[in-house]
Amino acid sequence: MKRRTLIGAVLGLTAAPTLAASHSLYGQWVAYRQKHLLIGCYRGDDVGFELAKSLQVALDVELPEASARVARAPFPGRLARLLGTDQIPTAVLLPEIALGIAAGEGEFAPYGAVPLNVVAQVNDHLLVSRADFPEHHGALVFAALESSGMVRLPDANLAGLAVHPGVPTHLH
Amino acid sequence: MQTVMRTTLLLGSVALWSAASADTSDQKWQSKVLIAKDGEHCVDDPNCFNRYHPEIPTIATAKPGDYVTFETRDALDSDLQLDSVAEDLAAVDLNLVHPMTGPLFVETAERGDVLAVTLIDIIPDEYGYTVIAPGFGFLRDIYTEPYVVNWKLDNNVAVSDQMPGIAVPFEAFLGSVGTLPGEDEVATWKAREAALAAAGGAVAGPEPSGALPTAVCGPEGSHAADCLRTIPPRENGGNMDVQQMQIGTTMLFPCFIDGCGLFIGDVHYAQGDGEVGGTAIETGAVVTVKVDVRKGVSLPAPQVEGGAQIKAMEPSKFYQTVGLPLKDANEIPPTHSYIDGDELVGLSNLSEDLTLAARHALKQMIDYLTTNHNLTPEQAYILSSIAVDLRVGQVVDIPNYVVTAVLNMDVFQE
Repeated sequence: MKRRTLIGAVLGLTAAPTLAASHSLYGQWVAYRQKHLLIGCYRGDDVGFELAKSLQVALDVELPEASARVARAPFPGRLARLLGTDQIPTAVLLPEIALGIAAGEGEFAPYGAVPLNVVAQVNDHLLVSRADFPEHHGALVFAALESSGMVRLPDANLAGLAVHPGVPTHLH
Repeated sequence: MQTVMRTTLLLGSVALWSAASADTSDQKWQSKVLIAKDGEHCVDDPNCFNRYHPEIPTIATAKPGDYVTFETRDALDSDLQLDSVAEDLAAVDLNLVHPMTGPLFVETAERGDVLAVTLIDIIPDEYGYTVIAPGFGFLRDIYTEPYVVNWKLDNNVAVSDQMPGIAVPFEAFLGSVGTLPGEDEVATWKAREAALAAAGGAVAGPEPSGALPTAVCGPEGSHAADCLRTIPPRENGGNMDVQQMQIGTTMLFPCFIDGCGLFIGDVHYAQGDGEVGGTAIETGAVVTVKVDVRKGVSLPAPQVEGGAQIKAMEPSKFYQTVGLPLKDANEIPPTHSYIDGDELVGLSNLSEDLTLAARHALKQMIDYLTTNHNLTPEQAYILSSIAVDLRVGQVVDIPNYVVTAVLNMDVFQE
């Protein structure tokens, strides 16, 4: 099986959610968020926004089936809420912001703790995911971005966050 | 003596001037109520909510005849702004739709009465937006990616750097206005919508996440499972999106609870009949209405009394496409996808179908706009949402009912 065929089969990010959700109101918006791998960031972190867009471009080349899109929240708390309610699965964040969201502390206290894993390091930022982001999805995303040369392996327990289990186990 | 007279004249002048400075502004007769906006978002504002239930507490009281000013928020309770881009739309939290200001308790109003709401004034914010939201809108199967147009507003026209050469006239109205449902209505509407959802219809059931007020509708709220979403209009009004409800008209609502629980929000700066893209020019605003109670009459659903408002909205120049209930064979538009019928797929002509006729008219209008006015398909869809009226031509000439799409050509600047 070709790699992309495998990815498409494994990710299952195309037709199935559309069919499942197309009859509920906003169902296709939900499907949009399932159909596309959304990479969150927030207004005010211009570097993070640019990195997220770069990751989208890289994924379009290396993992087109992910159909990645950038979603920019108006402020960090809104991003925490979108991550916490499973409306967005991944985000590009500075380590201290990622830690705050994961702990649900400080400005993120109103949104509660949102368990996060680190998928990769992107310059000074982290690509994080919800802790329930499937292992094989994390593996595919990391492999695709590593191929692009855009990211590097996350340090173990970087910023107090666990490395995503999909990142090759021998590396952490 | 001469000095005295001069002094007297001078004093007289001062007195007259003084009276003129007071002019008419110190003469008051209106009884006014203000429901102010507080905080950046609905969640910060005790005068704001985004679900419907009779247990939502009223936050202000008015007498019949009072002028009530509501400070309202945009439909998405968003942080969109003049430089917003599609990536910002992708991060909108849909659970926050629609923030409503109120509810207002109107004295003497009882269940079974009619609440008359005369629209006195709308002062829009300086910013508004029109968006294409994935999965929403009449052509949601064709326009699948987020798209944002940011508008600069005043009380005359709306203009946008993203829609060069276009100025949309100010024809504001209340996208959402209505009264709170009673316990019986909540039970009835919830049951019928659940049945429709089970049949595959497009329905949003109660969603406690993001629901306000939290104490009633939130995840731990007292009525979390029964708070109705604001998206569908119902017999209590709500998200009707009817542009003829202009300043000067009187909207009549059934009153389902004592005090009625009037709410207002989701102001549309301008919108075409159909709001085909899913949004109008969405904005917050300061809205003033006059409330009255009519005893001894009842209504099954909202009705409207108006004057020359419809005439005033008519374009001086228009372009019109004619839609018929035609489609491609093997095509099932999203509006028809829940209908269980194998025959539908193979037909290229449906019988007595206004929805399909509207789709046919709209697609032709978008083709016209892209071909003749140098707009992208997305721009044409956006313009159709705010300046094209879908109108029923006839519902008798079987099988082909007609819906037309009427473009207001006045939006094109010289």
